[in-house]
This record gives sequence, structure tokens and C-alpha cells, in this order.
Amino acid sequence: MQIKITEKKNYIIIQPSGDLDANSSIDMDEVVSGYVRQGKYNLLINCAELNYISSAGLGVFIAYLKPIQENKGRMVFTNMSDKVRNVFEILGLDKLVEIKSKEEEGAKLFL
Amino acid sequence: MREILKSTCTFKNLSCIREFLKKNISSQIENPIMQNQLTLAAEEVCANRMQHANNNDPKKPIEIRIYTEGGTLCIEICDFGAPFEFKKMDSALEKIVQNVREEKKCGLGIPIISKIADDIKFIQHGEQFICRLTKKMT
Repeated sequence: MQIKITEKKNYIIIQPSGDLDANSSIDMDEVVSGYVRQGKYNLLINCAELNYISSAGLGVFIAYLKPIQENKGRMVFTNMSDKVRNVFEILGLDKLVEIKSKEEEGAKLFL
Repeated sequence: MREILKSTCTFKNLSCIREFLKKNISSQIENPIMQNQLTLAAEEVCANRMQHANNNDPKKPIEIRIYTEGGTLCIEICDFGAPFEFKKMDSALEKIVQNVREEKKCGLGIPIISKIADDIKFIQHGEQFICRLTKKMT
């Protein structure tokens, strides 16, 4: 898995590509925890290139939802494939996080 | 049809196990969402067994078997780690909310497996422990 990062004025775009599993979730955890530690609580996760996500990958995002929300930040997911979205739906996670079809729609939430 | 993959207990092998699962599940099930779900459920069992029963020890073996029985796809994950069983969970959302509240990363594998598999069986064969997932293919 590779993770592309774009730092915008009000938010950070995190774009993983490939498979996010128990092995690669460590890299994603470093990225997300790094921004949360810096007090950057507006994160847009663009899933366009994300092929697969397991519970370990989901766990990374879930673990930081509380500090992000408590600090009036947002974690927004965009560009999900049907397969990835289905994994969110299996767990009911689609009811707890913000999901938008396109990156542009997600970006508007941070303006 | 019966396919077997012999691997070892390190997360580095998960991508290889996943490819094996994808290839053999897709030969039996057409729906790509269901293919992904079953791949995910079996990988969750593998990751769980690697970590909690075998301490992620790359010297310890783990074997994945896929076969069909009538109209049912069976996936077995076999290893020699400590036996443990888990109960099917009805509510995944409850577990998610708990994880959010406690800022926990782990523990979502079992709700995923519970939601996807029709049945989960645990079998002890001497020192070998087998977790068998089944799913009707129709």
C-alpha cells in the first residue's frame, strides 16, 4: 500500500492506494495519528485507489474519530468503490462517519 | 474442487493469502461484493489466529483450505495455536460505538466474520485447531 498526502489550507487529503490490511494499517496509523497529534483534525480520506480494507484498516480510522470530533474536526471519506463501501456498511460504519461520492463534495465541508 | 494454501503466521503473508482466497472464491461465486466479503471474512480469521493464537510467529504454520459441499462454499483455517472460540455477534454497530468511545483499533474482525458467514464451526483435531466458515453459494 502507498499513501499520498496533500496538505491543504484547512484540511489534509489522505489517499491510500492498494490494500489496507493488518500489515499495512501500521503505516496508515502513523499518518493519521501524526496529524491528530499535530492538532490537525480535518481529514479527507480519498478512497479512489483503495482496493481493499480489512477490520485493521477500519480500526485505524475508528480509533481517531473521538479526538477528531471532540476537537470539532471532521473525518470525511470520498470516492469509495462499491466493495470498500460495502465493508463500511457491513459494520454500520456508514452511519457513524461522513461519506461523500466525490472529493470535491468532501472538500466543501472544510470550507 | 479443493484448494489448499500452506503459509505461516505473519501479517506479511496476508496479501498472498488474500490472492489465494480471491482466486478460488471468484471461481465459485460471481458476485464481486460477495467475493470480497468472503475473502475478508476468511482473512479476518487468519489475522486473528496469527496474532492471538500464534503470536505472529513466522515459524508457525497456517493452512487455508477451500472446497465446495453441494451448494455451499467451505473455507477452513487450520493451525496449531491455542484453541479459542468466539460467539457470533448480532450487533456490529454496538461494537463500533464502543471502539469509538474507547479509541480502540482492534476487535472488529469477529463482527465482520459474524455478519458475512452463514455458519462458523470450531473443530479440534488433536493439536490442530480448525475454524470452518461456510456460505451458501446461491
